[in-house]
Amino acid sequence: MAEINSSNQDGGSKKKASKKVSTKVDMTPMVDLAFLLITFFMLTTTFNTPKIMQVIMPDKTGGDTGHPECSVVLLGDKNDKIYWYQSANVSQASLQKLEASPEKIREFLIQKKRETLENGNCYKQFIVVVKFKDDASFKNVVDILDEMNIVGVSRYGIQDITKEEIQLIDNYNLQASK
Amino acid sequence: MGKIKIPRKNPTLDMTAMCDMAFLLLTFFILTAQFKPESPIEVDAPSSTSNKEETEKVVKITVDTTGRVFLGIKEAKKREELLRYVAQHYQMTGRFEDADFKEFAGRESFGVSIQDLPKVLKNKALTPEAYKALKVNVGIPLDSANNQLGVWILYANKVYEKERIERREGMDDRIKQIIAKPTPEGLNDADKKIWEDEQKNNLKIVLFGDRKAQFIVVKKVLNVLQDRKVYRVHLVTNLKDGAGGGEAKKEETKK
Repeated sequence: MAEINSSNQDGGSKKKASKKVSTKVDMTPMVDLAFLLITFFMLTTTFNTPKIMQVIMPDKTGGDTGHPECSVVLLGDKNDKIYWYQSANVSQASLQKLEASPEKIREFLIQKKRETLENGNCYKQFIVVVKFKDDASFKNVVDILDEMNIVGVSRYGIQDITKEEIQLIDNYNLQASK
Repeated sequence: MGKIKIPRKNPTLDMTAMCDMAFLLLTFFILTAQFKPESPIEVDAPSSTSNKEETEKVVKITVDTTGRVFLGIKEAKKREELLRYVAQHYQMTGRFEDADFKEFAGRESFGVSIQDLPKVLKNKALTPEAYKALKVNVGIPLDSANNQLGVWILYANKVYEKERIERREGMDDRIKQIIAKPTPEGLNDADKKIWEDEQKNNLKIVLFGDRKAQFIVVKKVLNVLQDRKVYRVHLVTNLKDGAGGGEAKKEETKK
């Protein structure tokens, strides 16, 4: 049977005719098990650690919003509706709708930023004030904050929405439905 | 008509390669696996292009779709200490037994008022459904009249501040100067690493809101944090598809 031929004197060419035992092992169960475990680990694993986005909130004392020409106010309503206006006097502001997709928000911010930076009165400061109605969804908040990070708007604040602004949104919706 | 000859094929297949691959993948998955933390609620985070990773020292405030607020401390060893502080604050230390503290230390997050917490811990209730079965209100109160979230945040800050002071004691002055900087600008690479490591060691308050969560709850939580002088908040987000170029996009828009 299996003998190890330690001496080289015979020469490699002459081999003892031994009974051939198959070296093949049936690996099916092993593979089955391996794949089972793979499936298990693939399903239970969380690949990436959660990602976080930093937001710096202003002090509660509140800050100035700057010159109305240099700042823009974004208003968020329920059902993913976003509006904006740019005026010192809320009651006279004309509200405009902004599509809530990230691309559109980015386009808008880039455009506004460029306009503001070219405006000599603004001393190269562009401020975005974000206000949301109570029933707006968190997703819109994150979308806007994210786009501001991308565009590089470093001065922004999340503020409480005022009654006048809610009125403004209501009026806008009323007109739109007419 | 001659017989059709079916060539005899050996049905056995050489599975070595497949087996190798299977085990390679298996090893990979076993080594990289981190079990999903047991979360009492399902929350679907909104997506952003931020690719900063969550660190170890995190206090996570979770807001679900219906506006219930949960709190979690990622570091298990800090949980017991925090609960002791808060229980002391509400003069309830007597209502918690040692087993309750142990039970609390094993929890990723919870969402009941401190008054109901002993009951929940004793009954080992984990999910909102289990809370409800005990006739317990789900969610940590955060109204101005009963601002328990604020108290938890206050003491979480305290626990980590204590740790920070202990850590600073052994440091020499040069390192202290490096880590005191607000930004890593102007530091060389080695110092930058020290600075970044220190940043990881600082407590981060993380807000994990569902994408459908109403803004009012988020606003309340942010107000609580502002009251506690936490101005730096981190929002948990999923990485947007194709957002690997987040930094590149930033460069583009700068031009």
